[in-house]
Amino acid sequence: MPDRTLIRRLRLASLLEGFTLLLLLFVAVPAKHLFGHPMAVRVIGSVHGLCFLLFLWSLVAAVSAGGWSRGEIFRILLGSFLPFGVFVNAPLLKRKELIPEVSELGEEER
Amino acid sequence: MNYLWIEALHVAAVLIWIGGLFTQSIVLAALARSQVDSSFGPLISSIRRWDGRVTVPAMLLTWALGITLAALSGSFSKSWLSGKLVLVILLSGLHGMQIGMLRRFSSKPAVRIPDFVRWFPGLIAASVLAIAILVVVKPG
Repeated sequence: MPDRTLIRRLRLASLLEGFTLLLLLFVAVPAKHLFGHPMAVRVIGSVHGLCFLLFLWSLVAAVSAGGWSRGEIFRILLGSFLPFGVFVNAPLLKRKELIPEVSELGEEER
Repeated sequence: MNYLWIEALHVAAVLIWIGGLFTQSIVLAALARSQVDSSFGPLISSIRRWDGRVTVPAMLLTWALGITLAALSGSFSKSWLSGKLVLVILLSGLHGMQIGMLRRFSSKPAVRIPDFVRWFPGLIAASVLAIAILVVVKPG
């Protein structure tokens, strides 16, 4: 059963990773190669690296809590490498976050 | 002076993080070895609460201060730091797995904890030993 808190954390980390990837590709890289500001890639690249590590860490925690198929894990991982990929995967994470947990099902039955 | 303050806070954050990691790993190893019953419930809840409020923030602080120290001292190109980073990533991954497993156990106690978690406390101890040697001896 997926865990709501861990999936919310994963969703946030995934969005951060996606935004910083877009910043890196569409702001920092043109700033370096078109306008001669190499510092932009160094700064945004480091921030993106940290966000990617946070995303991987959140994915490991969420997957270890169970309730994930291999296809879903692959899709989430692939989405983190592609620009706009995390936004394609956002509805999947939102859906998984809304699945009621065991404890909540128990409360509903009572 | 600032560097020493950051270093002191980094060491404190590492100690708190590793303490939390050991606690989780030893409890998970015990759960994998023994017959699971409901008496473990309150202990798991306390560990998860402590993790969310203390161990995870300590891990994030360890990363943030560690990167600051490396940037201030210009150590990013040193091989001992690369080795240390690999081990810190391994420990962070292990932490994530442990959080997930404890969460899974508290929502579904019938689910069996995998046998390989018995190796986690030893793996953490070996990583901490290697990190201490890399940081103090600085080979390479």
